[in-house]
Amino acid sequence: MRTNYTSLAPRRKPRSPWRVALALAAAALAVGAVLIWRGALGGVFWQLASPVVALRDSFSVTKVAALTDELARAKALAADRDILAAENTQLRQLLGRAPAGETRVLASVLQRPPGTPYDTLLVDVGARHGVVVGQQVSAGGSVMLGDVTTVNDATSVITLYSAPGRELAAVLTHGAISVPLTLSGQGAGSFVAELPSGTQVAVGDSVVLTGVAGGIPGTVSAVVAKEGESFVKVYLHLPVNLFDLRYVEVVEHTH
Amino acid sequence: MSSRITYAVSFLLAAGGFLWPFWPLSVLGIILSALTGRWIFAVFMGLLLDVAWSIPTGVWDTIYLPFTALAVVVALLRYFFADYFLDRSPTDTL
Repeated sequence: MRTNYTSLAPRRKPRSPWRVALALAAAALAVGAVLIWRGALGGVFWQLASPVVALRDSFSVTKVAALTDELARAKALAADRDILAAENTQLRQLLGRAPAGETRVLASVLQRPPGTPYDTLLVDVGARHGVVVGQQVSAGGSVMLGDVTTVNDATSVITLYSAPGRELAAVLTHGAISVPLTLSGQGAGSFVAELPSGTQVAVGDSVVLTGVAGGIPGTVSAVVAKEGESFVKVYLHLPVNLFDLRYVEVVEHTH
Repeated sequence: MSSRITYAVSFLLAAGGFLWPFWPLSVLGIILSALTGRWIFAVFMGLLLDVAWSIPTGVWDTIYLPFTALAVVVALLRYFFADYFLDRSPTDTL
């Protein structure tokens, strides 16, 4: 009778301990060498592999691939040109507009909401640039954003007029009609104000700060009038997009 | 599979993955080499790929030599578990 059986315990082929030790030592040496001279070995590797890689690239460069590459480069150049043109326009608008009797310090916005809390901006000018607490800050021209509340040596914090809890006396202009109102900051560049019912107000109307300096802190974005109420609610927002703001001007009144 | 063919196929996979470039192919070459018992070859291929691709980024940064580590891990898996999966138990006839 023939009986086939399989041994339950797996058998291992006997290995020569010296051979295994030698192999382990060689592998350990190689790993050690790579750990120590990885950069240099990488350089040598790429020097040796560069002909092969160049050959591979020559196979893969078809006309379509070359044109695709050229198109991508052209797109990158166009994007770069657009960015530079926009920056140029923005700087041109910001410079050379200061009225007589005031100087303006151009500041780059380092942090803006929502990166900064409490509707504040962090700008790259400070005491060493002549900035002092209380100076008004403009987004360019007559658009006023807020004022300087903290001055450091090279940076300043600007609190926007729209900061929650801030109240601002202003005048709403609707054609030839001017109506005084108090703007209440709501955060993120928006305000709310109340006007007597029947006051002529429309979306797009501007408000001007009271005082000689003036300046536009906002424009009307919505008017809510409820039946039977003696006041209408006017919602306003800053005329600039706060979240895209890159430069501001700190206004110094010289006299 | 004969030893020469195994070496050739695993090297071609690893080299192909490097030249294509499509790294999973290189991983396949290393795994094949280590699983078939050519662990020194797998480790050397792993080292070569680690030298070529330089230090990894992200989560692999902690491993530092990921291809080599893969070769070692697969070789260890084979060493400890191969006998239970591969037909290494001879059938004796009485």
